[in-house]
Amino acid sequence: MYKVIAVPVDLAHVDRLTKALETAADLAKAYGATLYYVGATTETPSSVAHTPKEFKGKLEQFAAERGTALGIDARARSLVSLDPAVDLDRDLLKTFKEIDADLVVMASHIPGIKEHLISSNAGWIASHAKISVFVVR
Amino acid sequence: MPQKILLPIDLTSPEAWRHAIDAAEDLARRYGATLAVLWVAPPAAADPATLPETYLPALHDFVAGRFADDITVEAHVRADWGDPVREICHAAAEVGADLIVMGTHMPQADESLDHSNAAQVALQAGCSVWVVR
Repeated sequence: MYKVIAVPVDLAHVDRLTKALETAADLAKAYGATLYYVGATTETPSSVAHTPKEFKGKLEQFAAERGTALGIDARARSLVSLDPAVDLDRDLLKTFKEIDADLVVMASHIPGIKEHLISSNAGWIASHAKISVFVVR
Repeated sequence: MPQKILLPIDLTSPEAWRHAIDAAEDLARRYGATLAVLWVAPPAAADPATLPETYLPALHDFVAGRFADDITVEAHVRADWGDPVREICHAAAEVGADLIVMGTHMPQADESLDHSNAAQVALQAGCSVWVVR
């Protein structure tokens, strides 16, 4: 039913995304789909990485570890957002298109972190994406 | 994964909800979840109290014809008083659904409205929501 599943991930708060990550992995396994961990970073240093290159490496390592542990085809896709507060949702949509995702699994929101990089709006994504969106609570 | 899935459909155009129905059926079977099929129907009857009686037979017929016996299916009807999003969210809480699987109704005809319905449910529901396209 689904071939490429995308799950936005924030490496700084993986512990708060457990349910979304589990759901995505579960569905990837069930459908034999490729699972893309999509991470967003900025040009400027963050708590996760000093540079986009370092961020990309960390995300790739994360995906590789998950893929081995879960026995699924897991890949990483990092995107550099110039102004995540403004552009992140659109950047994510563009990335979903680039990787040819047919399903997005994402947490509804991550509570308590306002300055948070991935403060993406699942509702906005759900209304603007042309593909299926699974909002996890 | 889900134990009870709410599947809102419109029985006047089940074909438009085909992908959502397929996805919900597949999940229900895979996880042994109960499927609660919901029809938010226009209150044609003068007396709203008679609404379920009016619509339930048709919904039961649809459910019996569409789903195999290996999954547990419930049929629910609620009146659409102009705010289907609210009805769907309330129904989810009432039947104890932990996931709503929702189609986007006829994207060509009424794109903005129906996208926003599904998106509103995705925003307002107390449980997970799968918007199926």
